[in-house]
Amino acid sequence: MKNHIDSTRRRLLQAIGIGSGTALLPGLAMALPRQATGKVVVIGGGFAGATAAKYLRKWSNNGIEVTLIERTPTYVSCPMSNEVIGGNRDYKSLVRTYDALKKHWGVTVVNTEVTSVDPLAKSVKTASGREYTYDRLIVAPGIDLMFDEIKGYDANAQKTVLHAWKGGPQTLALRKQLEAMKDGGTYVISIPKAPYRCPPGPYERVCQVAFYFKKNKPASKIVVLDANDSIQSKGKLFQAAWNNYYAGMIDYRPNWNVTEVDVSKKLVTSEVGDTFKGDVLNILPPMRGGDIARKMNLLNINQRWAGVDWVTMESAVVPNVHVIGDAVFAAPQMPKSGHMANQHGKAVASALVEILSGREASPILMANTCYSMLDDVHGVHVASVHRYNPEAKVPQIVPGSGGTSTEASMIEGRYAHGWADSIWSDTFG
Amino acid sequence: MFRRISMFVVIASSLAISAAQAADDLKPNYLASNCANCHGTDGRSPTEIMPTIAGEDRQKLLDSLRAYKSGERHGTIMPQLMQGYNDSELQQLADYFSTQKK
Repeated sequence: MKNHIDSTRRRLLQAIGIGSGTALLPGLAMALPRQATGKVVVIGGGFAGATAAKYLRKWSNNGIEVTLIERTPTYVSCPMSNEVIGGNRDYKSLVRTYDALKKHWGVTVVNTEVTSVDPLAKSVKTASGREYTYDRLIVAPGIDLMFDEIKGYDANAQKTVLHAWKGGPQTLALRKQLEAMKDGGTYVISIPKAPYRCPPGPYERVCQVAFYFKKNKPASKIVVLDANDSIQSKGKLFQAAWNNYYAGMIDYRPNWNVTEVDVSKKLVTSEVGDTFKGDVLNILPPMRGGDIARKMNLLNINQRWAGVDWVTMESAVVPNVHVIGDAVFAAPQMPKSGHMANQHGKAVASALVEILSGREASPILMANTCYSMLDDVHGVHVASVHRYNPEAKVPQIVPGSGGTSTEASMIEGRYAHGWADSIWSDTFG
Repeated sequence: MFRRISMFVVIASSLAISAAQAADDLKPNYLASNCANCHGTDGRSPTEIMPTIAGEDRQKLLDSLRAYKSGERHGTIMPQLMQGYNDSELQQLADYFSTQKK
């Protein structure tokens, strides 16, 4: 009995990092840090995945080995890409590298495609032929687009009808289409039913295109075909901008769900048979979690979004796999935003540092901030704070927190640009 | 032997209490990382427009956060965000950022 107690006590003390014979004060034990160790693989290097990789290294004092697998060698930011489309920003300013994650934080960054994941063997296979084993896997795949939901939006149509809803080549291509359009032409943008990536994004894009038309092609028109019944974010602020800055330029049609596109006629058709013609068609199809998440059967909610445990971000279906960012089935009123994705990255990093130290993950609190640019200088925001509710098992908006700007301002335009520089640096720097 | 057993019980129960407390509170470094999206990692802002809060005086930071929360200090987004944090969390934020290198 005595020996048993002694050995139990010794194991307990060793487990918390104290050798025998050390004086032990109650409460001191938990304050002593225990190094987190293990291997984490992150798939996807956007706002969610890159943040998770950086903060895992930072908070584990480099104890956790982190491998980030990302198919492209650089990242093109979706936030602020509407300014490139409006002619208010240089495309190059959207581009971020993984150099700081590699050099400063010691993340192993591999530019290749994931071909398969074996959750039982805890192993990730890549197109390069290499295999990466993990203790925990983070999947941060962003969104992919459901072109099949719109008749005629096939691979050929996608060459000329753009979405530009991921930062990258389409951002520049849409800008070129607008530049090539004649004055007096019509730009048609369609918005899918929520949830989709970046709720205020389409309406900000309308502002940016209107800003360009007003200066360069003042006889041109903008048609907004929204599958939703109203503007999905900052409604009053966007409406005010459309009335005050761009009067007579914007034709907004709520409850207009695009279900078909005809590239040769430049025609879109709704589910009830209404049609619209445009010179530049910018069609945003419905969205879902990225392909790799679908392949791994992580998209358990309507086969579109990944359900997660909101303390650890662990998948509701596949153990030891954590899903973060836009692919997650969002908590109530939690937007799919770059800011939120960064906060998901920190939540999973904090949880995994605890778990890989043999402790329990702590609860979470996430804040969201989304700025939109209404022209070249005026900005507006929407914000919210989401605290985990243990009874509901989901983060909920703290009553009274958050809100929107009361009106557009130049100071918030400056904050919007400052926010972008800061979040790029916090995520990739 | 009884002394040893009772000592084990004391250690085990104090661990249990500490663990329970740890599970209820947000971790300070995690809590503070909420702010980094705008104010930079550890409060070191990479831009002029967003203030660096790393290495600021603790009391000054705390007064400022509390004033945003009470409405005494005006702002665009900070008064709205501060409604989401309790006073103990504001103190932890002031502790954290005041002890970071500028």
